[in-house]
Amino acid sequence: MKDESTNPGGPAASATNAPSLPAAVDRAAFQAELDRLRLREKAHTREGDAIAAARRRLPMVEVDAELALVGPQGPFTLHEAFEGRRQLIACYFMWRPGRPAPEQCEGCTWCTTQVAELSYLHSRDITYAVFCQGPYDESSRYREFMGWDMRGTQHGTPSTRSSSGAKSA
Amino acid sequence: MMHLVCYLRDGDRVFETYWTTRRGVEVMDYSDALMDLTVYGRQEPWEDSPLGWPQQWQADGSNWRTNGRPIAQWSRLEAGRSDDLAVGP
Repeated sequence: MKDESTNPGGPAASATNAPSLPAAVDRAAFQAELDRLRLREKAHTREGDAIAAARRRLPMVEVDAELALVGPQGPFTLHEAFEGRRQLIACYFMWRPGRPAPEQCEGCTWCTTQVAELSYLHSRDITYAVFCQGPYDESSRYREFMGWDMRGTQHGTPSTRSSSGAKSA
Repeated sequence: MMHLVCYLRDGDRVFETYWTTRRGVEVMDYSDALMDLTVYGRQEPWEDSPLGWPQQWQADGSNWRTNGRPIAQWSRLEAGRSDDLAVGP
């Protein structure tokens, strides 16, 4: 029987061989191995905390607050995109102007789809925005199609990337 | 290349405090993060996995597509939404 139910349209796993399995052991042996892994996980967590601490000590660089954007109410600026909040996180979506939905960026779609709840960011005085380069009406239609209706999400079209430092390397 | 940029406002002035791209945007994701907890991981060939582990998803963008579309589009189409992006009168 052909089984495509778990992975429709995706690359087929080996058709003839079931995937290999880990060694089956008793609970105590399993827990001992997991405990060993947990030490590395905890070290990883603490290193992540240390990197975040360094991030909080970075300097900052001024950008053009008047950067032009287009949104549902027409033109607005980067400054206005903050909606009065202190911070703004902007996701620069790689919009492909004039291309149909199936050809839009799979990586940006993967990320954007998963940011669905903004109230925790808002509670910390952070606005979240998605900026697409290209005609606003097109990307707005894509947002509608995808059901990205997070309340309070700024969605705009900048004429240029607002950072002078970021390289697309 | 997709970017995440963090800004700070000081009155009328705007400052950039951080940016990232490439795998830095994985902070937005929970799917790969959850897959990383499973025995077969993301099932991508670059992963250091035991011999015989499934690794059929190429990490070249096609891993986020099925049947010629970004994967997340399929549930929207099944829900009856139009994917027409044309802006008509």
